[in-house]
Amino acid sequence: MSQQDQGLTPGQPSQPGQPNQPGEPNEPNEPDQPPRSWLTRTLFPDGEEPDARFTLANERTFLAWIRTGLALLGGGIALEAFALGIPTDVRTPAAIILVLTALVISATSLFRWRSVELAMRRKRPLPAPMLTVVLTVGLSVATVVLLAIFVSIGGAP
Amino acid sequence: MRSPAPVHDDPGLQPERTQLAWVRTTLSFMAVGLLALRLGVTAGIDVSAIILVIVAVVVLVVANDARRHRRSVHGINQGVVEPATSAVLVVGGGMLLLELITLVLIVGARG
Repeated sequence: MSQQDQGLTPGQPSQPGQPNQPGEPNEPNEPDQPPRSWLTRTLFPDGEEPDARFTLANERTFLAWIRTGLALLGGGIALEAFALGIPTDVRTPAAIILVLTALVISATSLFRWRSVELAMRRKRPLPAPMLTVVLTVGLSVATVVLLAIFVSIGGAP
Repeated sequence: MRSPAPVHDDPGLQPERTQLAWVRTTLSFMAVGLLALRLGVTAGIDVSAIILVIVAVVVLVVANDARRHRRSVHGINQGVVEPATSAVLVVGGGMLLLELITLVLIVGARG
């Protein structure tokens, strides 16, 4: 950091409890983090707030996973809700597979949102994306299997 | 009188992208929730549980919405922002509930 980043802006001393001036380093015991709700403090008890951009990016990633789960959930519901001429013994397991996949995705993405935020707070490496990769692979396999089922029973026009 | 919208200099437009992500997710949630209502009705099962989940998620997320953009702009300007913990938990929890209700509907209506 440059010399002027490290100093306080003249005439604007940092008050305890106020957010940092940009570029000002955080001291571990100084209460200059933004005020946090009880819920946030309970879930993220230690470390210090990461860059705002990373927190927002983590949020968007979580929401993207949720939308992925919603697409799967919607597919499973639509299979069961609308009479598509698919025999029940194929349709119902397919619907259940879709909804279960959505369930795994949404549960995992909740935990992942928290682990990533915690890792950023503690300045540790981000959790391995292994589970994310497993989910993506499983998702692709499930999609191919379902497509194969549909084609084999003449579901495709 | 309400103060004018705060401005930030983030070229990545993170506050806007984050806000849009919330809006998109809420819209998708409502759409899937309506599908679940349809499933509940055709299965002849009481749909109040589904309606409650949808309404709770949407209302709580939207209620936070007004402050969210303003708060993330301030966060970008000051360097740190508090994660939207309650909204994340509400959406995630509502999602899990909707999935469980759907499983019950599918399995219960079978045969």
